[in-house]
Amino acid sequence: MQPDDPGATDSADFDETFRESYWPMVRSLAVACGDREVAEDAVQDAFERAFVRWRRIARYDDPAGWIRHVALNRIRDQFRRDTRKHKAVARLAAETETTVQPPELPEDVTALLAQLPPQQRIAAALFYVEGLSVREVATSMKLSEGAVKYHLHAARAALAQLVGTP
Amino acid sequence: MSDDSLGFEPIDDELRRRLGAAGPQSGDPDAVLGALRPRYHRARRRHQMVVIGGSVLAIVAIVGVGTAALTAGGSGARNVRIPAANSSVPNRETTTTAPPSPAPTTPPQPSGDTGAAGGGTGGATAGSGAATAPTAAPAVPVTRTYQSNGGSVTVKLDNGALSIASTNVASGYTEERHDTGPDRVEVRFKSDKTEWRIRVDLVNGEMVEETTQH
Repeated sequence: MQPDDPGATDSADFDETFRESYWPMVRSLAVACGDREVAEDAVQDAFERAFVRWRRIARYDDPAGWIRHVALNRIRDQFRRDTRKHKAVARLAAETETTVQPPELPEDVTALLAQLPPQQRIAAALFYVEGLSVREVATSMKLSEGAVKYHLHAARAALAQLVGTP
Repeated sequence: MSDDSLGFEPIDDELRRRLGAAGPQSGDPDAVLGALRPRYHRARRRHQMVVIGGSVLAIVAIVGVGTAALTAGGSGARNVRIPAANSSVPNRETTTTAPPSPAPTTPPQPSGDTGAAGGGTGGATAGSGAATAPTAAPAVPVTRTYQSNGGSVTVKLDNGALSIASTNVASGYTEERHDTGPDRVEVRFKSDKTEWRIRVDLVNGEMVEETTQH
């Protein structure tokens, strides 16, 4: 590409955003949803949508935040599917009169994270794994900073019972 | 790294360490981007073709409406901005720009564009109005059904937003909803051996469908 080709500039900006953000997003969303493949799929699709609209997205204050928000929408769809699956399993267990043991505290912090409500899981993953600030988490989740702090406090309190045990 | 306004606690470092270790190992982003680049460029070309195709369709629609109005005029006047006295064909463009006199006041225009839109200021107004019409969201909801071997999806476009109205899963397939709008819906139909994906994007106010097999 020629140096003065606007497509080249667009591509350079996009490439830089991809290099900086791709793996941190995949890591945090994989922790949030518990599935690396789902996280990679969501992030790659989000970058594709950004690439098609890059001239507009590049002018945003936080293009990576837009991409992360699109990927999170995919992850939330996955949460809804998982919820339907778990409810179906629970209904089946009830129908077969299976004795349900009280849940034990998971030994693994990610397993405990998986038991949290989706918003707490996502907020905790973005904050602790990707290292985003409260404001950046709020931008990505399209929530107020107060709502993000609420979810983070709740997630921290739930996870503390595992981390705090010897 | 933690936001001071959250209230730092020692547990934050431990959570950061444990959750960070739970994530997948990072790889080479350039290698990933290199593998994805052809797919991204194909998506961009499809998007550009749809935008160009939408503009062409809009021009064809303008010419078609103008030609129909000319044909229905009957008096031989080429100025479709001015309804003929004996014409019963409504011209929607004249609702905003029709001049008061029923008689043609401008000479016939040789250009196809102005012939469709009429002469004088009415034509210019109609042209600009028609050029912007395709980008406006339809006033009433639109539903379309898209088929694949794995099932079908009925997509609704309402007030500039896409949504899934209903799906129909073929025998031997299961359904997964991967995107539910507002600017894209995607449903995947999976069997033991294959997967069909129906994806509909909202581009320039139009539904653009892509069905692929994986």
